[in-house]
Amino acid sequence: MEYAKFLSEARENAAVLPYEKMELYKRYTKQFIIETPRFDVHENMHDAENAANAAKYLWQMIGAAPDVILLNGRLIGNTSSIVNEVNPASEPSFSDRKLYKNDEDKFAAFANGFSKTVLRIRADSHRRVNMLIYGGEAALPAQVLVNAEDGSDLTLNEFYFSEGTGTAIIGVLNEINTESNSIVELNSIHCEKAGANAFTMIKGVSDRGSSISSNTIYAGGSFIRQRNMLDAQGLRSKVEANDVALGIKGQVFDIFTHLINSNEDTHAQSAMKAVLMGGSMAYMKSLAKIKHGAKRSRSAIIERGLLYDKASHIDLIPDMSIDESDVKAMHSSSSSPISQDDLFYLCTRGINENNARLSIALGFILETVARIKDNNVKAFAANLIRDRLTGADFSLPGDMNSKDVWIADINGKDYDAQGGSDDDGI
Amino acid sequence: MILEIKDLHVSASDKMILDGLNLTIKQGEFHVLMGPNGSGKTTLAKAVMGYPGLKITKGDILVDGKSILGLSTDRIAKLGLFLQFQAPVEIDGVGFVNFLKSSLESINDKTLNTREFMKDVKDYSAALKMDKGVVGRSLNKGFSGGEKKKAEILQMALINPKLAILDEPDSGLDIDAIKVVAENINNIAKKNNQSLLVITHYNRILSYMKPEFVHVISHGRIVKEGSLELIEHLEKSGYEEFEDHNR
Repeated sequence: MEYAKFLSEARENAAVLPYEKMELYKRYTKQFIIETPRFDVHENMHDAENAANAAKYLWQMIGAAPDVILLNGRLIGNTSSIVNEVNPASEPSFSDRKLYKNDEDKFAAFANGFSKTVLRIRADSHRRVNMLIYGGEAALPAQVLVNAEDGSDLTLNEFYFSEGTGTAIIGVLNEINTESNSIVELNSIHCEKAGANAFTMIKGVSDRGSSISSNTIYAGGSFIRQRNMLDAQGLRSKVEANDVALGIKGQVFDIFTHLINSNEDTHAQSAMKAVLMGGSMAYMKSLAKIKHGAKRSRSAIIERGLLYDKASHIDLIPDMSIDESDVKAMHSSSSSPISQDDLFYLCTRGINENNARLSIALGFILETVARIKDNNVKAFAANLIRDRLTGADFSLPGDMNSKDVWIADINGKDYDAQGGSDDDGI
Repeated sequence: MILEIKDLHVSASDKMILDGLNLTIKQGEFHVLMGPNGSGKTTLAKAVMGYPGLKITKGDILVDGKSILGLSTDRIAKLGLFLQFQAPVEIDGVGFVNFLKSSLESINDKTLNTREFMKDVKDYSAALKMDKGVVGRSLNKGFSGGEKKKAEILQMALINPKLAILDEPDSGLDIDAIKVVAENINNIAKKNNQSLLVITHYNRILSYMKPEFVHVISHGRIVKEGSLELIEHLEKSGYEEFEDHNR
């Protein structure tokens, strides 16, 4: 092997692989015993009813019923013409995706090995899909494969819910492929109740002139592991991952974004923010790779942490690997408690300390939320964050009156009969 | 409102900064506090507003005869005291207009009519010759030095305090802006019969204002008091004569 090639591979692997074995990272590991769940939704009526409540709640909050509903990793509702369930083994990329190539693909391998539901979303024009992902105490991972065709514009909103406690697990692998000049915005809002564990992965490749933007808001759950791997592969393409973690009480976030500039004039950005309190912890790592030949490309990593108390902890790790000289790359990381001077300033204007803290934390987070283009989803996320910051644990309203409707649906009747929305509502 | 500061001793990190300061400001009076760097001017302003990083070791601060020591800063603000900061903080993501509205609603303890509020913001911004884009930004984020000072005076105008402590309202301003800011402060204070305590190093801004009482602070205590003539004297001779070289 050529020495230069050996060095390049060693450097690349060094940036990606060892962190999970580091002392620093040990506190973010958690072991799960995943039992084979029962697949019959009739055997999981409690989860089904909760998922029905979540659907109704979402409908009220964002003004549209979910187009797609995944319950415990199984598709149980779909009104969208661009979403289809496919046989995992028939997918052309299946063989490739199930390969366990490196630690980043651990989850992808897990999802490929255990998922029973693979959804294929083909966007051919201006489209929006709202997806409710409900996880009970025995859930399988699901895969969502997105193809944005030439010139299309897809907004995929994923809403994660779980009313379970203790062992609830949700896992979703999003794999996004864009054709030229297409736009994909993936907004993931985590509203799981405390006790839920979520494992999610986004693998995205953007083609010539296209862009992938991922906005993820973690406002629920107890343990969240997210892996983003976004490759700006086409000329003048763009990839962006914005992650916001809100830890209220003892939550653990493990978030890693891997950006790659593979071609000329590409843009890549990872922006991570965390507000932590009550002993919450966040491990947020961004690795930006600019490949040789990716001339005039730009890459940026921005990581910010705001700690409410001494019991909370954050590790912000920016990492860059640059193999091209004609590029612009920047990274910045900072974490701090809420500034006493900032609080004092707001208090001199008559705002009490609790509200001043709330304003500062909200302002800190909502800058990222503002990137979501869908106004209803943006407002939903903002309200969710405000509620969580004021101490309210997320819980679905108990009076959604959806039980009868839901049972009709899971018995195979048309979901749209409930008043579900069209899939192309933009 | 009457603000009385009696024998005030204040320390920060075990260092004595105010050392027996006395000052009384009555309703509608215009006072100026001048002094060299490090003499305790800003510390006095922060101590009045209850800054948590300062320790009051002796003395008292009274508003209308009642001690405000121990009150939280927001409670002090609700009594009618306002501090214009020398270097206002920048807070990401907190919209300037939203902040102004929250502040007014909190101080007045009532929900504002948004249309009337926005009209006031527009009118006062125009009077201060503020760039229209400034009010749409995050709180003080990316504001120039002059914009920050004008934004502070805009807050003073909207909040309408009984007593405003203005900590170097002239620093960072060009000659034209000093005149605009000074005229606005005069108008706001006169219209509402507000008391003013202006802290400054120089007499530039005071050439557009008419203070009634001038105090010189050195090493944490008032060492000289007078009227406009004292400012002229300081302009010629500086603060050297007030330095205690035996300290």
